[in-house]
Amino acid sequence: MEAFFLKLVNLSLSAGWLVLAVTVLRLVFRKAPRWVFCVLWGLVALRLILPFSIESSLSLLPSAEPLPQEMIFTAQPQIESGIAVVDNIVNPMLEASLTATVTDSANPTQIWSFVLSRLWIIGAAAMLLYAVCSAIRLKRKLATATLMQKNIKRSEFVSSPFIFGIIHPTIYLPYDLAEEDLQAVLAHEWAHIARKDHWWKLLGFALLAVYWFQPLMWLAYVLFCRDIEAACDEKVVHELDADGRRAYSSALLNCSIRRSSMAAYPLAFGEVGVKARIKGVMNYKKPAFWVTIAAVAGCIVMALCFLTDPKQEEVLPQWDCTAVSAGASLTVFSEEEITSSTGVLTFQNRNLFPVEIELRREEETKLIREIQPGGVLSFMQAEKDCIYAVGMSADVVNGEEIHIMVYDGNQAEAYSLFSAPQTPNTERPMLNMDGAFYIDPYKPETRLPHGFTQAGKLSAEQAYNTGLAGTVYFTNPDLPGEYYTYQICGTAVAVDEVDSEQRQWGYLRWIPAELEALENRRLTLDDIVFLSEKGDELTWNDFDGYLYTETGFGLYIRLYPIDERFGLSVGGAPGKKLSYILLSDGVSDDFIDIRTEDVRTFLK
Amino acid sequence: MAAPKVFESEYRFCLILWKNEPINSTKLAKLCAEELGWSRTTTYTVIKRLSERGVVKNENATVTSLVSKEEVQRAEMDEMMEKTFEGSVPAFLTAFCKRQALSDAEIEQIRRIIEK
Repeated sequence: MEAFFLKLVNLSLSAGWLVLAVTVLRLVFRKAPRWVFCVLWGLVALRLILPFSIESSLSLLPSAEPLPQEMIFTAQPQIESGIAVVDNIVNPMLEASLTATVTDSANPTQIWSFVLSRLWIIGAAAMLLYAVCSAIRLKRKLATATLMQKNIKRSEFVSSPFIFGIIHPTIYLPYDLAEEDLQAVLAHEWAHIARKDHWWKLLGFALLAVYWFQPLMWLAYVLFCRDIEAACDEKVVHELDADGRRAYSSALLNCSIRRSSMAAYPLAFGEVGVKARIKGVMNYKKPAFWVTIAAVAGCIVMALCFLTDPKQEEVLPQWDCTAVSAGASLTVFSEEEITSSTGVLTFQNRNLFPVEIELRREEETKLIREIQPGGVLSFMQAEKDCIYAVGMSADVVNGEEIHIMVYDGNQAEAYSLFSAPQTPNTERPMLNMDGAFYIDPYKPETRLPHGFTQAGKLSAEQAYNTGLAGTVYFTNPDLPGEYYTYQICGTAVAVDEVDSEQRQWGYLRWIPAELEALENRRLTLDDIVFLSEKGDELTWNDFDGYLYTETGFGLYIRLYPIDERFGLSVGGAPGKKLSYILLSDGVSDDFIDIRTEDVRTFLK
Repeated sequence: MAAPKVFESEYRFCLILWKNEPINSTKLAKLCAEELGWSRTTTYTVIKRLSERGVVKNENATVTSLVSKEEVQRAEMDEMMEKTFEGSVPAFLTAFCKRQALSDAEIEQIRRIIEK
């Protein structure tokens, strides 16, 4: 439902632009025939109903999807409103308030989208319920209305004439309607029925109930109701002479009692806005033919500009060029055929060593350049739509693979094409922090160790080949050379087992690449939770491989540091059963034996 | 004795009743459907409401009126006098005469009705 609600919000934003445009046109073209604006409101309805749209370069909308669908799922939601100023104001605010932090168990954006979507459906249901109840109440009141003619009834509960009934619309009149006003009233109401206004107004209210959260919809509905009445007036007055118009206007005046114009039902004769209507009636002139043509053309233009989506940026192609090294200073060519449509080719060295690339076109060498590991080079003189070949040479062992990524266009745009973390099959994911490479050899953790704080977001260079650009990362000033990222990863299901299929948001620990798979690693709180499940079965073997300091003489008393706040002390005779396994909290000075007490509650 | 209040739509129902009473309720419902456009349920509801108010009587599916047409008309006029003319007979008569030219005999008839 959250995704559906997001789609509705996007549609309401697009429709909002059209509503503003129509409102402006209404003010500018006051003399235009009213039916034109009814058609324009129909366009608004179309926009709100159709979930799809075609792309056109005539579109005046800033963006097809201001709130991207991914917003609900990422840790750092961003909007793409298409207006730079708005993006630059809103996105930092979203970052500050909605970025998932250490203490959150669920993504804040997910919480918000859940709450808002539920609120929306409650609001919509309430409005529809209100409408249905009002209709039932009215129907009951009108049961004793007496028949005057076919489809015309009179009742003492009618203050000003209106229409009720969707399939068989009936005109309801008050008993005390003056004779001279009867003709005018009937003509007006018949015009409503002929124009099927009873259906349009109902549709309008239904859309209002669905899109109640968009304030412009209420404005649109109010103006739409006014335009319907005015259009009916015009239709009637079109046939009348000056005397007829005077009679019509006085009928309008006589029937003008306050009615709520918010009711979907019924279509009333005397309403708020009577003065404007009388003015319209008395000043009505039959529109010239060209005015009608211009109005129709205007509607088509509006439809093209506001019902179509702006053209998306084309995704530019990229190639993963691989070649097997035949020895230092021997150039080997990739089989990929590169063609540029932009005239710019960008090369990226995805290896740990410098690579010299050679760009060839039809046996002619166009470029020879060395690129540092992780480095980028742009060639601006590429001829469009010609086939190039990429050759590479590096100082590596025979048979080692060399990877060069080639992009059509500029590197900057190419990097933003990465969305979810991807790992190229042949290479280990690595981060490039301060010029050194980091890997993540350990399990994903559900808790961030105490002492780590947010240090920023990975830039494109830091993310290297992981696709994690934009991901939040954490550092601990007391532990230089260690980073944590908050990202989508697998789930640890046991002390030494990770299920990569089960994705979740978690923390990944990154250590310098040369320290790969250290002999002893630091115990984590997640490890403690898993270990505690073994209870009394725990032996010294379970604690092999973790970093500790020995403090006992004869007896083993090992202190396993976990983070700034928690630590584990394990004591017992060597080779014998463990005497105690205590998890201690440095802040509260409290401790528990993990074999007998519940670790999770202690950690809260 | 003040006649009970009758709404305009109910008055039209009473007109049919006065013309045809005593009448079987089913037949009455049929007449109302033809002349007023009422559904059968509506007619029965109105009969029930009016009998609660003491305007009609429904015994063994036969409907008769408890109040005569003159009584209802008088009640209407009383109300109109109070509301529109603030109880002033001269004011009412002036307004009435301005609308229509009356013969002396007609004026006399009206006076008798008012003073009854």
